[in-house]
Amino acid sequence: MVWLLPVIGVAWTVARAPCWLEPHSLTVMLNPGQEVVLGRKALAAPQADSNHVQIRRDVNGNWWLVNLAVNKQVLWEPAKEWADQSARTWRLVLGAAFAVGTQSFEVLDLGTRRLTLRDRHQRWEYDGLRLYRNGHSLPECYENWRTGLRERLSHLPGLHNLFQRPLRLGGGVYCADRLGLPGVPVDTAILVPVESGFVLQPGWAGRLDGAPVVVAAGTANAESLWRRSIPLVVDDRLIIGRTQYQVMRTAPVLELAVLARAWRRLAASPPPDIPSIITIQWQPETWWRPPGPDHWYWPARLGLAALVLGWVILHSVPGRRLSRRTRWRVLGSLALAGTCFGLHLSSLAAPVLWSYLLAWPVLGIWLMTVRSWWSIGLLTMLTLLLGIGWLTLLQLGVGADESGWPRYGSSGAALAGAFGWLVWAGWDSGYWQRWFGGLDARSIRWGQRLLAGGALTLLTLQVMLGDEGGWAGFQPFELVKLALTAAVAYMLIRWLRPAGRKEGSSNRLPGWRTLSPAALLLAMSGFAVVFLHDFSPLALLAIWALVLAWAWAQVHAQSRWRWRGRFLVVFLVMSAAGGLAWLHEHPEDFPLDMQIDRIRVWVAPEQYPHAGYQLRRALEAIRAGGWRGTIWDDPVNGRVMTIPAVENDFTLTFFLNRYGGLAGLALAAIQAIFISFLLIIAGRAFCRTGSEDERIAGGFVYFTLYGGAALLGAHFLVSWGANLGFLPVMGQPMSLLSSAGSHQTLLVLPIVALAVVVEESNSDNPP
Amino acid sequence: MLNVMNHAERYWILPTLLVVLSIGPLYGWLAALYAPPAAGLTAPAQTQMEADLDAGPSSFPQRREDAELFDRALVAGLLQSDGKGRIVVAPADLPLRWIYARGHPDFLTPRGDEPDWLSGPWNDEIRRLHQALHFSASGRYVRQQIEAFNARRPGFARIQWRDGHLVWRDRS
Repeated sequence: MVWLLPVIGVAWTVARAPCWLEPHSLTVMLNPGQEVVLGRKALAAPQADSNHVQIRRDVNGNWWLVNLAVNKQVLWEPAKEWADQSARTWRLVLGAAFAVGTQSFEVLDLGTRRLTLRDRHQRWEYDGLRLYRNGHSLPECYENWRTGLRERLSHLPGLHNLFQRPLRLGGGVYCADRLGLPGVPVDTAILVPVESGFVLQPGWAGRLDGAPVVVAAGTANAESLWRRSIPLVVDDRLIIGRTQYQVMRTAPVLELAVLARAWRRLAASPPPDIPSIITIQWQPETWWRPPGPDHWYWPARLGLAALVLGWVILHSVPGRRLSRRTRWRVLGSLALAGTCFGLHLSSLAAPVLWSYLLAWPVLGIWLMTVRSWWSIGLLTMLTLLLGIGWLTLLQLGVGADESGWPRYGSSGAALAGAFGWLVWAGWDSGYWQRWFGGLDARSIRWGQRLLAGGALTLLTLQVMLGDEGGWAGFQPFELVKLALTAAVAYMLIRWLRPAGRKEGSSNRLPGWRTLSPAALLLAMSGFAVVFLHDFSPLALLAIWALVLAWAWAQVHAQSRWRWRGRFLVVFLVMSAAGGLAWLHEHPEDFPLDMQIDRIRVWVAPEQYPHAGYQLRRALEAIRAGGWRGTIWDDPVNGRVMTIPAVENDFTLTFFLNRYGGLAGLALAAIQAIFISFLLIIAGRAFCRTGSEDERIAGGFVYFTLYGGAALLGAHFLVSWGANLGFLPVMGQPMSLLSSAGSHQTLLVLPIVALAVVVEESNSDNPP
Repeated sequence: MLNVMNHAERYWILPTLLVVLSIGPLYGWLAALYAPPAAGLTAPAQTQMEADLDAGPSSFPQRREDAELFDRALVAGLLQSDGKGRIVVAPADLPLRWIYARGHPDFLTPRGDEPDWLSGPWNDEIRRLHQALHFSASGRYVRQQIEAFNARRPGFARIQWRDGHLVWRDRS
């Protein structure tokens, strides 16, 4: 019954969704020699400028495109190429010249790892990592551990290309990756190393009305980099603003298929006022039917790949033979997991409801499979929370006037589905049961070391090659949280119950056992402070540490430690609350330079219209929603969509605006019950009896689940605090509500899966 | 009390406690947020939100972070007049120029027509101010207003010359 509630919610949302018309294709009709300027309306591109591109047809009938926007992009992916490039890109060739501001450069030598330029006075060489002036190496612009590490790693065989970086033109300094130019702002243009050499592109400070950049300087073909023309041929792909197109034909007219992230209009509203030589073909939103075979590519390929891989594994790995029926069930689950992952990869273009349809059944299957009441309770709460999250993100998508918004809900549902089917395949084949049955101190030790090593490697790669948004499409920081939880759990259980000693006897924690947790803790804190410049992860860690301290005190063998521990935790919680109250009264005494704006905004948001923009907008939207929400009056989302990060850190604001404060109270209650079920299952795992290995496994699970529940609870608290303004922290995604695929797949669902597997293995031993 | 409960009953204490602890304060906070404002102080929420969005971030009655930043950047020399009545903003790489001016002056580019940004004072306070000017939301707003002033002066209302001084005017 509970499983059906979100299904009913989704059906209701779809039934009440506004009737949108989405652009299917654009047709431009020009005679040879004519040109036209197109903007936001004619391109159905909500993020484009009002005059963004010029489309021209030359006397031979060929089509050309010029980006006219002052500082917005047009990306171009030529047919049969896999990478896109800015339309304002110029490939350097030997002997050619270009000018930035008043400075001209001639290309003297060009290779895949070497570029040599000459200006009036000096000779410059760049190897993709470091600039040389007249043969002398220039120092790093900012000497720090990151640049030092990058330098050392780049000398390792095969890694040079991985660490290449653009040469930045402009500014007042010559250093390792900057070629200064008098009177030209830094990053006006950049020279980017590519496979075949180097290309010249605008930097982040490059603007149409800024310093001039001329390519092919001194020749008859000289032109401004900002006004470079690109030829359009069939199958080229374009991104204008954020909207994606593909050239379908070039004769007798230019036809562009609109692929994703386009502006859409209500069916009852009149079409936009656009030049008569442009025609837009409109079509209703696609709920089920894929617009073309391209949209099957990833789901079908990955589904098939998972099926084949599963078949090979089932037939090659020795062990217990599965019945024919079970084997097919396992293979089916793996194929569905692969398909779900494929849907995640193509969530921008796949029909809206596919992911939900594939993900929802696996929750029902799990609910019907588990036997313990606590597992049923936990999965019921998970179903409700996931249901609320998917419903919210579905509404976010269907109520928005841009066709790209549904991808957030689809992607989250697809990832949850992939995880659910994959774990189900393991469960049905008996893998997880055998895994937990064989869990001993040695496998836990090596498992957590492997997890910690992998997480730290990925985090290092993010620091070196990614940005605060992640690396390679996911957020390794979430895996570090899981690894830290497991590492500390193992440390605590060894501390509490050293092997070979009597339980509860006095002992000291050997230093080497703290190595892995300490490294992870250091990495997490350092990453938050140095890389993210954000202390909200530290707030998560503080809550996590307090809860773990409580968990440790709770099960300590000596009653004096139990009481001292609990007293200390209560004291620390009271102190933190007192500290916050004091900080609210004396924000100027905040000791750190970092995020001081956040503290000031928290105290007096009305004086900080810019720094506090997000919070002010959020509070206004929440007030506008009231207790009952705005969803009943208007299926279109409206102005709440203008809140920055509404799909992520501020999804809670969207939820409160659309569904109201009463729904918010229900959500908080479900979250509280969810956390308490995790804690109860943790407590039951600790009571496990049997051999020393079994008791260590039980203790490890106890601390892991406590740590995991603490992190989830901290995410809930920090997200409520950031959205409602009662905590001075930057936002964090709200678990199971926001669009946060890595958080959900690498932290939340593994914790829940561990709880279910353990509880199911434990349910035959009543407490 | 706890002693007379069986195990199953005891398990329900935790969810009940957590629900009460989360719902109670949340209800109080939301109720305060939804409470109608005292008469005459502010407009109803939706109207206020729409008004702010229409007017941009300049519809606040008090002197705010952008005005403060503009004034302090002027005093610190991070905003200068170019002698033709236009305002020039200190370059984004000024902190790096200061580092190189002290350690490797031979790696600085010739100055050209730019103001001599390295002739003024430089300390942690000014560095923080520079960072705010180039890398914060209010700094971005100030630089946008300066661009508009340079393009539209003297008819630009936000920044004006008064008695030989540049003045940031809050719109109320």
